[in-house]
Amino acid sequence: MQRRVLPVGLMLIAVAATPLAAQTAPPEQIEFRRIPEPGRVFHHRVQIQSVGTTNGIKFVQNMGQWVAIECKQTNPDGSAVVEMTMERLAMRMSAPILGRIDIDTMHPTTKPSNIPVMNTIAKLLESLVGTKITMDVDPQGHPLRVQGMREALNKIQERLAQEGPDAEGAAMLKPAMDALGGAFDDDTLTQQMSCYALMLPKENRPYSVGESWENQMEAELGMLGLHYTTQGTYQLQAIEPLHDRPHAKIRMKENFRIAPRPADEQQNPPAGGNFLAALLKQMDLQLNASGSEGVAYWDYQQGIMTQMRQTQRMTIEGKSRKEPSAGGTGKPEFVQRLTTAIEIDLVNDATETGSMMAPPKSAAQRRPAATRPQDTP
Amino acid sequence: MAVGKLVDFFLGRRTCGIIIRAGCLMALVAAGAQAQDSQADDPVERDMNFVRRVSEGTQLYTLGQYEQALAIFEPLLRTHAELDEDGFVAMAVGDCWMHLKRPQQARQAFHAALARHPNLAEQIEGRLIEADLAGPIDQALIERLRKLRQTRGHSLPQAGWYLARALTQQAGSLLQEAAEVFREASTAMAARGSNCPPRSDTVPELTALLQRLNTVIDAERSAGLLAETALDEQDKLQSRDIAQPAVHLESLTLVTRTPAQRSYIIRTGDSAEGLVVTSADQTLPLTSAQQREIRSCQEKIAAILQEANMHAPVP
Repeated sequence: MQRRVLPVGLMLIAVAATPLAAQTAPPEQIEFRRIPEPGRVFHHRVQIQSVGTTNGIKFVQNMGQWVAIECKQTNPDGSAVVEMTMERLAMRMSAPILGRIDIDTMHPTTKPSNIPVMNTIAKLLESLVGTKITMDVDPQGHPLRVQGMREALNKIQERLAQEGPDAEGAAMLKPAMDALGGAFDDDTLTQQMSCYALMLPKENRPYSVGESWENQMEAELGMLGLHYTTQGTYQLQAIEPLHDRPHAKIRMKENFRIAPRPADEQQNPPAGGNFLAALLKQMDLQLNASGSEGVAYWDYQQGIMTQMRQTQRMTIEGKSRKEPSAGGTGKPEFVQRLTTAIEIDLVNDATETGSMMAPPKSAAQRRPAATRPQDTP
Repeated sequence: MAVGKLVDFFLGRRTCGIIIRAGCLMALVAAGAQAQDSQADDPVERDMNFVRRVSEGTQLYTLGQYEQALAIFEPLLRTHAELDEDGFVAMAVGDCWMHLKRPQQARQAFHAALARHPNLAEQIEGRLIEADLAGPIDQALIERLRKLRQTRGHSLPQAGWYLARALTQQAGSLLQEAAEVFREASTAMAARGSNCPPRSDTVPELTALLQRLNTVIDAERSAGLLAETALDEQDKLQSRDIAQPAVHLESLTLVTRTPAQRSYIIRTGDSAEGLVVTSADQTLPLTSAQQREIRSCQEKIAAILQEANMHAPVP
């Protein structure tokens, strides 16, 4: 009896291990929940790794932000109020000539960079920890109104004032911060946040695996005289388990572009006293990213994104608007080419760092293995 | 029990057991392999891995670890060439070889990059010229650069710069040869008791001239297209105290007679100031090149004085 039970038992285990049999059959159709239930806090870790060149000089840059998201209330019409809290910010960059930048608000150091102004910027970023952004969203999860950008910028300016006029790079930072405050406001942020809702289909109805949809968005960065367009194609590729929960696996393909608005279409020309806008008046700045592909896992029952992976290839060009007779070359004077990998993950809390933002190796660890003493386990 | 009897009936117990166990094992292995294959084949995951590896290689490159960076870039280019859309990795391979002072391998890499990315022709042309300038300068190269300047100087202003560097490097080689030949001739002629030997100062002066020329050549090479000083090198430059030369000026007064009598006081300021020159109570602005020239002279003066001191009679 025992000798018969054993092979049969092994066979049952093997059958259970095969993917087809392992899953309970996924639903044929799903409906997307777009907003989580009120009262529960989710933590997102966003990591962006970029590698490329700026005017031919190679650089690599990692940026991270950890955000807590909570639905504060839902309304009878299906709209809701969502609150996002900045828990942690990190930036790591290395480039010849520019040097190293190593900022992490959770692990501040006395000298995060050999570029003086970045040491002050590190302190300004620390002031952003705890900042809350409140977003009113419609029943499809699209932002209607965002509040909190102004408070965040005020925090930065107050912190800069605290550092005093002798702070490293303060002379450069004050006008830059003033310009940011004039260029970005809650309306700008509302438009920017709208792009994150593009991934989900607009209609509230059941969707089957294989269905696809397109979304597009146009927005104005009014005070800078810039026009933003994004267009994407999305497909519900599968219903798959992730972290023991069923998820909608959504394949994405997106293009986006930022370019100056044509002068004759500008109803609100760039603010004359704004330093950034003044700079952009003299320069044609264009950003193009095409063929950006990604995969997102959306917890369609809880109404939250659990994971996203996306790559982008982007070119940013700045060209002087001067005519050749006035010394203009007609060629881009500033060219940045980037390949970017974006990872968004649902994490337990802001202490989960992730591989992209792992602390850089020490000088000893960076030496070639042959010349390096044995690493301490 | 029923299954066991059925199986026994068809196959016999021992054979059945072996087949079933083998089947279980194969199913387990196949399930695991299928899961891995699907992840590795996913185009997004493949692209994510590509970006991670390029970032790793670039991090090493910025730290001046060009061999280690090459060990990442080269295989990545073999296995993921279709993802290197902007030619970053293809160019990085050539740039690594250049930093490793292997211009021949760099040329091969840049030619391969040009074949894959013809839109990078202008950048690669500059890289190929840098590779040529990293090697011995021959007349054929100089003629080629002259022609480049002549035919495309208006649209490629750096053509003149390339030619100037090639001419300077050639001048350095000729100067080196001249100093060596002067030295040999001086020795040979002195041994034969020649009445007109070369000046004893000629070789030291040529050597000093060559040192200054080499400084110019190195500075122009550093300012070349691969103007990417490794971060570790930058750290060393920033953390190193500006070393005091073996001798330095405390003060020196120079009096000129023409066009009008004027005296200059040269002194060493603190490390931020460098040299400070005053005349008629006014501080004269010095460029960094002028400061370097004065320091070079002060070292020569010190060498001369030390040699003279050695031959001075003992008091």
